[in-house]
Amino acid sequence: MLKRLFIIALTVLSASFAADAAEQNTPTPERQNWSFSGINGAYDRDQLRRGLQIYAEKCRACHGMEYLDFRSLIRPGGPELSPEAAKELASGYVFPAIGDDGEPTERSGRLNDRLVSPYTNPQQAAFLHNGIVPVDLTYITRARSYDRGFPQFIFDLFIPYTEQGSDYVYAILTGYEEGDPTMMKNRYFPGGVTKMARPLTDGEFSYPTRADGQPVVPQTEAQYAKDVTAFLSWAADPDRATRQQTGGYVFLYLGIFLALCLITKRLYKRQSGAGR
Amino acid sequence: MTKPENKADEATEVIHQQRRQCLCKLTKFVGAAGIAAAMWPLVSALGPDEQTLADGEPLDIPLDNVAPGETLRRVWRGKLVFIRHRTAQEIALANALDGVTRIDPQADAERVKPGHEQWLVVYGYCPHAGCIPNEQNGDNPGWLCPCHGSEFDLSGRVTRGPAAQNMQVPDYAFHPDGNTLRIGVKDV
Amino acid sequence: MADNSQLTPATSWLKRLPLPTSVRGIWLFSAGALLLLMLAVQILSGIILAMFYIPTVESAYDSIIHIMRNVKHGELIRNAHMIGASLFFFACYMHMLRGMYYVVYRKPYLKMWMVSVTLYVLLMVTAFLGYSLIWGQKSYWAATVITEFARAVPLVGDDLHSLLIGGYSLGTPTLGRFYVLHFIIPFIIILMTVVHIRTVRHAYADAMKRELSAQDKSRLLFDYKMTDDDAVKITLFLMLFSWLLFFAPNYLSSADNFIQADPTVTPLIVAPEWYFLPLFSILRCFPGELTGIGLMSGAVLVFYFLPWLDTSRSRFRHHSPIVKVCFLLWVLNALFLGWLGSKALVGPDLNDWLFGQSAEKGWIRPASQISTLLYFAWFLVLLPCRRFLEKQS
Repeated sequence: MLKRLFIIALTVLSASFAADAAEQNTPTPERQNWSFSGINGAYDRDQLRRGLQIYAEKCRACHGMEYLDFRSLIRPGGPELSPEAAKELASGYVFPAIGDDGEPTERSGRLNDRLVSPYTNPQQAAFLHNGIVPVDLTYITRARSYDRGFPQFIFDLFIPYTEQGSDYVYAILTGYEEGDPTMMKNRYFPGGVTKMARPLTDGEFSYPTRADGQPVVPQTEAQYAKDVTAFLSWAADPDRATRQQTGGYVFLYLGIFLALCLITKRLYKRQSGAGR
Repeated sequence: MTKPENKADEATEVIHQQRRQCLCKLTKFVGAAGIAAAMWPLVSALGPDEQTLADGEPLDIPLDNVAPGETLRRVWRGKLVFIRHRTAQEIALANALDGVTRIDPQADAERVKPGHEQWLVVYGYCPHAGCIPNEQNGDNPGWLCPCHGSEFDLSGRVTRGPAAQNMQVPDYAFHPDGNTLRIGVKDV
Repeated sequence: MADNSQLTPATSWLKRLPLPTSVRGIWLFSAGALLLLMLAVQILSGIILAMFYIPTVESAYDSIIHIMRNVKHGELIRNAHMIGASLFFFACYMHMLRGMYYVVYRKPYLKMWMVSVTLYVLLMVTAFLGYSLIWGQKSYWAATVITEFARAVPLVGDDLHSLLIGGYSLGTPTLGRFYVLHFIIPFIIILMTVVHIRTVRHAYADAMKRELSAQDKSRLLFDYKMTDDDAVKITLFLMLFSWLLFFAPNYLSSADNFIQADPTVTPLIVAPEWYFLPLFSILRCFPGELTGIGLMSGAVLVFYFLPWLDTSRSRFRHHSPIVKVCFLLWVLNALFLGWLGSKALVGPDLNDWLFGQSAEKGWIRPASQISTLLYFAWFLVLLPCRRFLEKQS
């Protein structure tokens, strides 16, 4: 009786929630296939390098990544640049310094520095962009999400689906309206109009080529968006692979421990029970 | 609880008892191992973090603008380092004092790199109590510690107490061109 | 549910499986052990985090990012602390629901119940303070909303508010005092937990009409041997904890808290973490600030009055099935109320929606109001009438 009521209640509730979700004006981003999603996911090193290339050639003009340091571009699990390549990237950045004579001066970036915003301060950034400061991109894929609705958000725990942010960023980058002269209308952005003009176009960046001279992946806007979003996802969560591996070992241990506890319990029950 | 009815049952019961105890101990041991493993990240978090490790990497110091007689002061891993460009006279004086220093005997050649005797690199702290010595020119060139009066010569060796050791020399090496010093490594 | 007579055909397979009795149904027991486990996790991870956190507006958020990126295992420890807070509340609610279902607040457990509800209040305060320390968008705006309550006090509201937060709006002085309080209150919680366990022990002895031995009296805690039941449930709980920690660390937290606090930008939806959602829902859906604050406080304080609201004096086996069904509905209603709290507040007031013209479109607000009424109906309507439904002993 109790269980029947419970099931009825659940059905009624989920029906009402589904109706609510359909009323939204902004479409929800689609779930993409990422190499790093799921329990066994891992970042694709080449994709991260391509994403870094796009960031360095385009996005970096306005957006900083102030929590990401050049040294982490060398470490395993990421784009795994050579130290020389990372140093070269760093030397393109300028940082304030104080000379031995006490006067403010400048120095070029080193490995321990971070990929700071190109602007001196937020006021300058806002001044140059009509009052909006281009957002810092280090944690953008963790700082964005979208409503999955009931009961999907419960299933997300078990899949596990943690790439809401990545899907949202990819949707924004590819969601611009075709043929829009302002290049600002975006169907996934709340309100429908962004302050960032469409950043990616087909063929804009040259990817590494294969032996036959073709680029390793198609040089389309969608592919660019995929690669740069993967890079941003790595920047927001660089330790993902290690963490999931450790998680695997922890579960193995807990499984063994659980089995031991259950066997102990059963043995003691046999002792005190009617005997089997 | 079923009582053992005869010897055979008793024996089985004893075996069962031992099995239970063994399993219980095993479970507790595995549990304790798990707790210890869980404590490990907490303890290791107290160690130097990536930022500190990165900031503490060997430091390259350009030596171009240091005139003879000048001392450069740099900080590495939070410690002060004196880099003194010694003149030829000062090198000769330091060598001459090799046999004279009695408190902590050490030849000047052991405290500098061969081929780069003009560069004396020492930690800027008095080995007695850690105060920073001041430079001395004149009769006893070298350093004088203001705290308790220890004196050091142009090789950083202690000539007057209460310090009992010479000024400490860090690991360092020169780049092949001789113009850049790397502190923190034994060779480049 | 412990005896076999209540097993239906669907559950008779449980009888055949050699599982321990407690696994069969009474998951609510052992929540006390889980709470102790979570307290230990929070304190251990919290102490390490406290060594790296910097309570100033300029550095708070940066210090947390520093912990995540640079400190060895920093991300693990920080996520353990955040998930630990959520699971602490999960275990706490399980524990409270068990208490309500099995009616543990009658004599001689009165003193224990008072201590228990105080523990719950202290837990909520600690959680709120800790969440504000993150200094993300959600932290800042949630803390702003809650501290604004002080303004609702007549006559001295504004002064009280600036005394509370140390300025005109949240800033470094606020972070400093929140940090200190967030560090100290868990130790008060430890003391209260000891008191709680002692009073449970004494009350149980009273209820069983047995004297506590001198040895028992001299012990601070239970003579606590972890039973095999507890070990199994703790392991399963740890599996849930580990799953969240390693595979879905941000599942229970809000994306907005990865944006640094900005007084000039409000997030689209201001809502607290899941464990505060029902109370938040009650707070915001009524017209008038004082009504909302009063009802929200009432929703927590009503627990103190449970022993007197519940007038029934029946044994567990005589508990009315109607009451049990209503309890389940009450729990579902509380979950629903929480879910409503995560939605934007649209819609007219209840009386407009039912009787007048609904000028505003939407159903969240009237639904929240109905849900709040149902929440209070359990305490104020059903429990007082319970003795007419059950055989009194």
